[in-house]
Amino acid sequence: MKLLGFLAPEAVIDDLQARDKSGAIKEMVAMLKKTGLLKTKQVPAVVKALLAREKLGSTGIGKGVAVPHARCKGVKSVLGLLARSTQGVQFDALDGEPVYVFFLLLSAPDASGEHLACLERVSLLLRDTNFCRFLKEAEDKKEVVELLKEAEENLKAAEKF
Amino acid sequence: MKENSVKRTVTIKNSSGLHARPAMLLAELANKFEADVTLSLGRRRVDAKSIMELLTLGAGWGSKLTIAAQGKDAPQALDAVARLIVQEFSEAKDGN
Repeated sequence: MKLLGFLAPEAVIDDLQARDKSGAIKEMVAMLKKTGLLKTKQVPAVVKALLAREKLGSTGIGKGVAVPHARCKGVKSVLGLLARSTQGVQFDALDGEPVYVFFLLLSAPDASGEHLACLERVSLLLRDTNFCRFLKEAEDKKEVVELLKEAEENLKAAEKF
Repeated sequence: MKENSVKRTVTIKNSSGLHARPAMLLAELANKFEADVTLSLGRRRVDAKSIMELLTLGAGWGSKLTIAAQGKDAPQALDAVARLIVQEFSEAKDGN
């Protein structure tokens, strides 16, 4: 599973404006609509599903990172979005800290395996403190995408050992 | 005194594997014990008390995970973690 295969580069959000959970989720879904990755009529159901998943337990897994996700009809395999927040979002994270990096994942109802593979890729990145630092420091969207490409190469190289 | 060190291999039986919510439940449970708890899949071995580490395993249905615990309450930690995995994280069949 390639990072840039499921993380749409055009949908990267450089700096989220929302400061709370519901606002952040709506802003990310709106970006998927804006870039044509989701249809307008899909938006309400996707927002609802993401918020319902949060009610089962926050996807803010700590260290300033969250992986909001839901199943979504009409999506081919997995669709992902990366968003940064300079100010931080109150996301009821498990460690109580604000969230600065979001990887949102929407998976087709029958794509459990792909969803798991995407979570694996994303968590391998996020566990790397250098990656997280570079991600925070990246100047703009273009640099973020470059960073993802580089990270992909590094993951590939690491797997050879 | 020699510290307790125990190990057991279990198979993931829930269809969607060790995704975010099971990882959260597992880390939460492991954190209740003093013992160090790790999970291994193939060559990878991670801290069972960290959700992010657990997610890096990408452990799907049928994966064989080796749980290892070391420390004062290691046997209890091992039993609890193994039970959670074997009981499929008490997940509905189409868990999210």
